[in-house]
Amino acid sequence: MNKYKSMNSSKLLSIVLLSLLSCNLSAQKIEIAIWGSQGLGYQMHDNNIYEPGFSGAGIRIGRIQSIANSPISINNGIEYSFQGWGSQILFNNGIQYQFWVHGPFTISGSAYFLNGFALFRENTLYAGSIEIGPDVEYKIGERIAFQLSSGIKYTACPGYKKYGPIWSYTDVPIRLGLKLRL
Amino acid sequence: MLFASGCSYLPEVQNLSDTVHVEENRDYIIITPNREWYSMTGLVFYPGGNVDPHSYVEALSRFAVSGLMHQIVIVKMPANLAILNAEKGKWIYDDFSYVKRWVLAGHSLGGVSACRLVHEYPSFFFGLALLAAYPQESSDINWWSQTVLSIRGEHDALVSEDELDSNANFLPPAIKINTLEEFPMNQDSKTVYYTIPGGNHAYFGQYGDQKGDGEATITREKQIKELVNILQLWFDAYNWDE
Repeated sequence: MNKYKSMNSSKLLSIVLLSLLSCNLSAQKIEIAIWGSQGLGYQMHDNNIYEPGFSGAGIRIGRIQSIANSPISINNGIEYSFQGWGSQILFNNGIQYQFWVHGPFTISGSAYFLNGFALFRENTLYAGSIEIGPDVEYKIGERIAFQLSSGIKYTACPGYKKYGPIWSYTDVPIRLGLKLRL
Repeated sequence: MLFASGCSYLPEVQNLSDTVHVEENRDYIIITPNREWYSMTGLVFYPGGNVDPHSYVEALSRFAVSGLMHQIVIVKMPANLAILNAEKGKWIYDDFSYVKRWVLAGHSLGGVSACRLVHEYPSFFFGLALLAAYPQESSDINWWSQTVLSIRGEHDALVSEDELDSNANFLPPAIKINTLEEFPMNQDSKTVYYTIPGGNHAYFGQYGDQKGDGEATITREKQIKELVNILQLWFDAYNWDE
């Protein structure tokens, strides 16, 4: 009997979540952005080293799905970038919260969790990243907006420890992008 | 396409002796002989395209402790592609001010980028060593007054002897040698060409076999030994160890 109740609760939870995702999501946008990263420091072996310098660049293509009647949107996409160990492809999942909207300007805060691969022949390694920061958007007409964002980003490739001593970086990315409403 | 073009070769395990000290920062891998005094001429090295820079540490460590010992700096490149920042080596005098003279070297695409750096900053370097590489027409340095050393492996299928010959007019006039005993002394404004018998493209570093490369008939160990020997002869010929 309890098991039956529990299954029903799971089904109900799934229905609620699916409803949230399918019914209340609206206003899809596509985001294309490029960025360069100012590095703050890195981890060498187990030591944190503060050493500012250019740390990489990349391009991101993503989908932004707003939740109806909510300042929250869900972002998913893919980015190709290079870091100290070489090139990488990361898949991003993020959430964005609109703090302030005035005329064509919108200021938001975003948090991203990225997972993917550092690109090496024969032995591709896991790479992951977390990023948090502000995002400024300027609308031009109904469908197009420019975006300027920054933040703090931590990227690590733990498997690279075997080949080189520097296996993670902490950076400040400066990102320029274009958002297109579909 | 991005995946294929962005994949780098990982280094094999590097066996380092305790005669050198290897340190690293965001921009460089620095190999320093473990003794109080060493040559005032350093070697700055550009790695091959899509090759992890650690792949050259063991080979260059051996050169670091040959002769009167040298400081070696391997430049780390964005996305492991030297062509994306060919001029990065120009900061070497600022970042290592205690080294009096610098000689530049590059493997494969790193060599192509090294030629571009010499083309832009000809007075910065006292010599240029090209390992399986040649300049592009836009980096023509046939007017350069310093010495150039061009080395390739006999079975290199990625950079053929014909390619080197047909691009030789972008380098100072050629002197071809067949054995190390023929190595000329003090040949400024000349390019000395040497082919390592039995060698190939990938054996200048330690990153496994390279796609499209020929099969070497000597060991990697032997090719690295030949490389160290000719680099030392070159340094001796110019008294750079003094």
